[in-house]
Amino acid sequence: MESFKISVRAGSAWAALFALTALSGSAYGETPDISGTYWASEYQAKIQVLGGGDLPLTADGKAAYEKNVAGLKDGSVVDSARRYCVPDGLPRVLATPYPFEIFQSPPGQITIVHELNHQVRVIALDQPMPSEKELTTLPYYNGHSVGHFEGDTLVIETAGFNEKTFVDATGAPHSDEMRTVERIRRVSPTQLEDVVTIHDPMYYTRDWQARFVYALRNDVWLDDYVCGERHRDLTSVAGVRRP
Amino acid sequence: MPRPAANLAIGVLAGAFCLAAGSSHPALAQGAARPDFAPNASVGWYAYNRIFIPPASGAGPVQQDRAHPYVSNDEFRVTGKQPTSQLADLSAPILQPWAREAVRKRNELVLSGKPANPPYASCWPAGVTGFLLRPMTQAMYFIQGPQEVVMILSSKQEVRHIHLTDKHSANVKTSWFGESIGRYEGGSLVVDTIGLDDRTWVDGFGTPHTKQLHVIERFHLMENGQVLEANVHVEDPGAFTMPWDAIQHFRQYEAAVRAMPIERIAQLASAPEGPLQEMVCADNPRSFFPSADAVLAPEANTPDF
Amino acid sequence: MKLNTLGVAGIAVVMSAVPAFAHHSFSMFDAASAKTVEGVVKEFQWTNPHSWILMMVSNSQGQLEQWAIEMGGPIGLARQGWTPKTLKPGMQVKTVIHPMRDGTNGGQFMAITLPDGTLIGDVNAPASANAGGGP
Repeated sequence: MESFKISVRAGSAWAALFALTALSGSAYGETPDISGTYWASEYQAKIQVLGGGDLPLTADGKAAYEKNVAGLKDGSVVDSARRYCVPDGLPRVLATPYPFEIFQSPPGQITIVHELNHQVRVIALDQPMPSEKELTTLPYYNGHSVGHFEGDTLVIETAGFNEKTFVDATGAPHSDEMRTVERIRRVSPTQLEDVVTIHDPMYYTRDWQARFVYALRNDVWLDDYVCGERHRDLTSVAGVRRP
Repeated sequence: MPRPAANLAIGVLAGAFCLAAGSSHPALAQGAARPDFAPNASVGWYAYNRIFIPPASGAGPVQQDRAHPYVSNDEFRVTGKQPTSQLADLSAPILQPWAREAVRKRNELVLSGKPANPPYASCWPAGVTGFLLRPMTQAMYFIQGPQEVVMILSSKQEVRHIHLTDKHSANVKTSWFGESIGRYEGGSLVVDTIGLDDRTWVDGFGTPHTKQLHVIERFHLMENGQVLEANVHVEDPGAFTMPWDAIQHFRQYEAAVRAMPIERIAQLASAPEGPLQEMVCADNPRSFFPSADAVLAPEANTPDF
Repeated sequence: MKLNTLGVAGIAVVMSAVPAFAHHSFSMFDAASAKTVEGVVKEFQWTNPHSWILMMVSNSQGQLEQWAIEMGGPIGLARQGWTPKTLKPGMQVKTVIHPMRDGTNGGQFMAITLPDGTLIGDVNAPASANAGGGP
């Protein structure tokens, strides 16, 4: 009798522990925990190609880049992300000097919430990429993203971009046929890296990568962001120049 | 199992229970039930109305002037009836004289045939109470993280952050959405918001508020998880003569789409029921129908960085 | 290039500072009437929060005037079978709209007949039926 009572109590405790573990923010079963608030400590207006060197532009890519640079200078091309606060898109948003959050919820989704322009990226987990028809009918600033985990890394594939964004703040171009792959993982208990591969044969002669690193900053609460208003102090982010 | 080993096992398990509870789920550690507003990525919530539902008793929200029935865009989509603008019943006892005057001025614009649209019609934030009136055709989503709940309006990617902590910051700066803290309690998510600046409308009637606005919302599920109810308690001694309460209900689908085939819905605005889709207000907010009282959408004259 | 949604390079469009009205009551349109507007598509803006058909229409003096027809956003339109390429600049079309109550050259989309005779939109839908008319 006594041993029966003991094992019932143990069983209840196991059940409770299992339930908590399943729900807890720090244990997603096999899935790594990359959730949290992140904030880069440096910003670069010009995207840095991993391995060094210039952007591997095609002739069309060079022409588009030159047109953007000249247009941004004389005002005929508007940097809509800064002027109207439309989303920066990929990969430009990865350079954000503002904090952002990664949520591993709701079930089946990763949700990335940016302070900058209050952009939200939705990544469907373990789902196929939408059809070409859907991607071309509804091109998004941030594209359509699907993701899956490979060991400690979240792999995000994105396609179906519109052509209203730049690759970076200097006006580097991309076409609506760009596809990106991000590999996101914790490289230390307090740092996250995102290595993005850009595939856009119209403008680039080969696939190329850029790497972004963020500090885990769960002490930071994201602020509102409304275009044209004063926003948070960014002096902790090296390389930010405010006009 | 021999008793000493059993006790050890229970002790270890109990210890692990406390450790896990403390590290990730303060609400669970309190023994509170956590309602699940997002059991999967496809659950989005659509408002029943663009006007708050009055409480069963006690002071309630500003309502539509009965002499001018409100026909919403949503009703038009299904019935074809001429849509009308919201027009406030100025006898609302909760309004202080200056607040009543502000609402009356908007009423006048409407009666003179002007649209008198709220700031959010020009891509400005809806604020806290206004947030609950927005998702008629484009759903509201919850992201329930361990330390924070985020509410997202798909129509403009408007985001509210609710931090699961029991105290507001010592010095709260005012902002469009204020500072929201929350806790799970008895099957509800209870949200307490202060620090709202005074630029938003409390509702679609143009009811103003001051920086003293304090909003307490209780979100809970009804009807077997099919309906989300928000019980809203509003205090603002600078704008209202008394605290008042309001109710809003949300369902997991747009009512019009269940009422008739989508090919027959005029001006269909909603995404298919499913995960949050990208909709950017600043994509093309300009109108080709200029109105004297429309405000410019937010824009930055100099780049932020 | 697969897509040219605005008819001009997306980034090169300079947004003029026109008072904006993104999410608004439809009270500005006359739901009880249906107006037929024939002309040539100048631009089909596949954008949020509203898509727009800009048409050049001959007025009674034979001069061309721009008409603006407001539609829902792309996500709703896509559900009803639209794509960014459904309309192209230069297309001769006949639209049916709920006209602006204040007489501005414009209105709310109800239906459109394409050059090949295809009719898009349901003129028998309740939101059209109360208007008592069709193309």
